[in-house]
Amino acid sequence: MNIIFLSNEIKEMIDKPDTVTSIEGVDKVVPFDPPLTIDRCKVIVDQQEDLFIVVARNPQQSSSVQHTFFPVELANMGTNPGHVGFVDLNHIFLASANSEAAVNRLQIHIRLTFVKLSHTKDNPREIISPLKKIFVVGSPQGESFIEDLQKKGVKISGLWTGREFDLDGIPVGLSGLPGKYTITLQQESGEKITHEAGAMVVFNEGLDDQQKKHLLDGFLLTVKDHRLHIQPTHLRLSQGIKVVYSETEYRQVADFFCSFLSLSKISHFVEDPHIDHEKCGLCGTCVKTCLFHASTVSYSGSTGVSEIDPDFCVGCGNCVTACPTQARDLPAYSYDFFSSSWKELREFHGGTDGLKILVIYCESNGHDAIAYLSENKIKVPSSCLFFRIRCGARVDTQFVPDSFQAGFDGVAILVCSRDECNNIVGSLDLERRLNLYRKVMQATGIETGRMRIMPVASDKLETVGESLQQFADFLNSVKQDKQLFTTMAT
Amino acid sequence: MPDKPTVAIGLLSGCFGCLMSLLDMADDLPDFLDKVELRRTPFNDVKEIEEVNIGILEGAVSTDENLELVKEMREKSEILISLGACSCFGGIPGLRNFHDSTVLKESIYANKVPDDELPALLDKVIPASQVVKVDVEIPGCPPTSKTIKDALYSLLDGKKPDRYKKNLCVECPRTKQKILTPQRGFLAEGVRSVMELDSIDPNTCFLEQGVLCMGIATAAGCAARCTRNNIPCRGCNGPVPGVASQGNKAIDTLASLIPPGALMFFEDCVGMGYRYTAAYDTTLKVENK
Repeated sequence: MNIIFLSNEIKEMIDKPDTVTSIEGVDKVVPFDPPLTIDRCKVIVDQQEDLFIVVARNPQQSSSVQHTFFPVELANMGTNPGHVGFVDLNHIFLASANSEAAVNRLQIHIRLTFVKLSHTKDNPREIISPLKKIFVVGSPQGESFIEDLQKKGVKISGLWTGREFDLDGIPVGLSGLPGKYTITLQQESGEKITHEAGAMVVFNEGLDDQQKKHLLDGFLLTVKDHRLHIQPTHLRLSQGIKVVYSETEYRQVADFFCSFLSLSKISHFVEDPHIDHEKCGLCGTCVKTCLFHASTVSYSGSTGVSEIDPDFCVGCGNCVTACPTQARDLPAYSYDFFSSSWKELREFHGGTDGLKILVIYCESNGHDAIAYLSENKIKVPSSCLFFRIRCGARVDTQFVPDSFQAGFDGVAILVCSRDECNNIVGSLDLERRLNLYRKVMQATGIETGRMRIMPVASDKLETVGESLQQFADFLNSVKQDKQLFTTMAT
Repeated sequence: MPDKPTVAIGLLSGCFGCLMSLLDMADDLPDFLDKVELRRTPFNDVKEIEEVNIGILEGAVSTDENLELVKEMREKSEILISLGACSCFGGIPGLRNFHDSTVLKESIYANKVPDDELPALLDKVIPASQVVKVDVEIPGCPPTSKTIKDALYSLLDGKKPDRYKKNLCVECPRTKQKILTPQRGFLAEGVRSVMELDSIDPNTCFLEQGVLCMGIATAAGCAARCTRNNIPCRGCNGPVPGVASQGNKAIDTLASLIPPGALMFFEDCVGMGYRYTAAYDTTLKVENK
């Protein structure tokens, strides 16, 4: 059965909440007063079979967009977290001009979420019992913070600068998943391995730039001996690695680790792409495009095999898009999921400005921008329909003409700015691809301005609303010049 | 498949090259001709299209006459084969999809377009498989004689041959090294033209030397006869099954491998990526509002 848990807050926002019951594919609608409790779910949901979506103002509370504690607790109760989806009302109402528009969006997003769940529900998972220790790099101010954690039974190990504390060595390697990481430490006598549930990297005013660089160079930026270049402000490698700058953040992170480490089990989706070896021609593109060094191709004579190292794969999807035979597919955002999505996106009625703009946004800065806009009630054109993807790296060139064919006047792609891309080359490879596609648009008479990449810097989230409005204004002005919009002979 | 299946060949807008390749079976041809009975083909004098066991299409669907013939061939053939890039993907004729058909006619005939004598041009070229259900596809421009022979003999044996699922790299003898190192930059700093072939290492992958080669985004099956002979692949075998657009997928792959200048060298990124498949990519026919 397909079930929707519908927050009662929606009654304030939509005139006819029963339009949710009329959505194709929905079997049951269960209202609730937020927050939704596990017990409420337990009573209604059949753990093995049902797919269910929670529609609420903002169900996601953790800082990560991929995992929340709600599905984790569900997993602990026996439900497959792959059966749970979320529709965030803040995002739905972000650009809605009126309740009719809101209903249209809600219906589309509910259908899209069910489509996603039907494709991902049986994806493989890895269940981890988190270790009861975390690794701290840097020197948090105030011993009470560390004592708090220790009082709750969390063991602290780590490297401190400026203080003496468990000097285990310089971190030189990191792999694994939240709950159980493997950290390699360089000591004078050689290398030592330690296993930790998570890690905290602390920057504070007491550290100078050189010290900060030293911390980062030594720890989070070193992957299999290769140094990457990531700005320190945007380390969001995974849910278990936290970067802390201030006293308030220490509190939040301490609380986070306490809750996190009290869970008996954490269920991680295996994000690694699936490989169809019948299609793999061993060309090596996946190796070149994976800056996390997770992809390999080994040859033996005239045959060989392409593989993914799960310790290093972050599931960004760059290799999936880059693979010329589509031998790779991303479990969370599969080719089938995208094909099915266009059918749903086509149902968008458009905005009061007469336009339809598809805004594809990444899970990092893209998501943060959308969250910022909705929390601060910043105006966004009503012609924008938001569609989430993992990373700009997973945007196929094909999506652009597909979206035009689905009726959209414009496509905007919100991704992290180049130097902040969590997946190192995600934004870069996206730009390279679409710059080439511009030539195709010119040859087929499509106005190239209908496609726009919008890099988002984390300290400029508020500008996204304005950028989208400018895009809408541009599209309207071009649309009036009909000649530019018809297929031209070259 | 009966003992001596009947065969018909329908000519659409093609160049006959695929049939030349079929005839190039040479010493094997008499054996093949013994095993089948030719009905309406360009090689014999039968005029009527009758029901046959094997129907073969060569050429792209470009005119209203082609459209009629494709439908008739589908009706009357037990098994229908698309032979060559034109009938599989639209081929070279498909490149006219980037232009307006009226403008094209005027560029050839100026003011005197003999519309009453010419078959009516369809607005866009279409691959046969987008008009009728095709049972077997043999891509290539032309497919090699061996590919055609293997496919036909498979059919005589009662087996339906499948298209290749891997890209050309698996058949290409050139070695790769740089692509096996993760890096932000491109495989080659500069861009080389195929005109500089004398100074290009014949044993190393073209892409790694800054020369555009479509092999990476093209289905295997031709034994890499071009790259083996120091000519970069042009993609005539089309994409592997499942890829909606050879050109768009080639962009996804090549964008991070070689500098954009490599595609610009041919001054025609579009013509290279979509050379044989412009008609196949349904989104290339987008009409804007």
